[in-house]
Amino acid sequence: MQYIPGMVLGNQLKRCRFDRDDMSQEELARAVGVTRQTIIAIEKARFVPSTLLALRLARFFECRVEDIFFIQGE
Amino acid sequence: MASRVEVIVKLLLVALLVVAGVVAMVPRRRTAGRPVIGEKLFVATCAVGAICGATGLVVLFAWPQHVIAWHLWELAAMPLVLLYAYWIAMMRAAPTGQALDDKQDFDMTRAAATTWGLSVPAMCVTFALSDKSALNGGLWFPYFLFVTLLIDSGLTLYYFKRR
Repeated sequence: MQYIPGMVLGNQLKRCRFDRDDMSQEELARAVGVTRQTIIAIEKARFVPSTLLALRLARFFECRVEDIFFIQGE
Repeated sequence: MASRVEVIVKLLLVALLVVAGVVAMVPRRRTAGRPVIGEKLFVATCAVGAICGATGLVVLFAWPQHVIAWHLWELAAMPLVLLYAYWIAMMRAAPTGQALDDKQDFDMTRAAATTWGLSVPAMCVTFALSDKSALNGGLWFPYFLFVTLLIDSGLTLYYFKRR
């Protein structure tokens, strides 16, 4: 996980899940091949996912990575 | 008495190592698209690691004169060895060779770094007090092993479950 000083990665993962028939964290975790704890940590912005996982999430929700992840304050 | 216990423990250890070897070698179906080391297995491994570490330390200070001769420290670590044998079997089934997900990987790395940082002062303190303790000779290695195992497993579990 990479941290860049002064930058925090925000995300819309929770909204994406809710838009997808109130999908649970467990279901999303299974769908993208990670544990539920990883989804929880990403949603709370405590964990920055790898590029690969970000792309898998974007592919799963059929959107761009920028539609899910953004730099807070920009 | 001592030799009989030693023989029994040795036989048990050999039997468990054979089981671990068989488990590690058993071919498994490939599990594409799912985390290979799932949440339950990961948490169980951390918990077993912490329990093994604590048990090893208790055994070490309770029976310092028997812990090496009776192979008690190897016995205390054996549950974790069996679990890691299962990990190897699961990892062999991983299609990409990557068995852990992003966060598991990160949590284990962070716990390992913190453990290394904590183990240095812990060993320094123990070394300074070593004249008064029962630790001598070969007991240092199991002591180091169980201290680091306890800290590392406990921290990994903490980081992984922290909300």
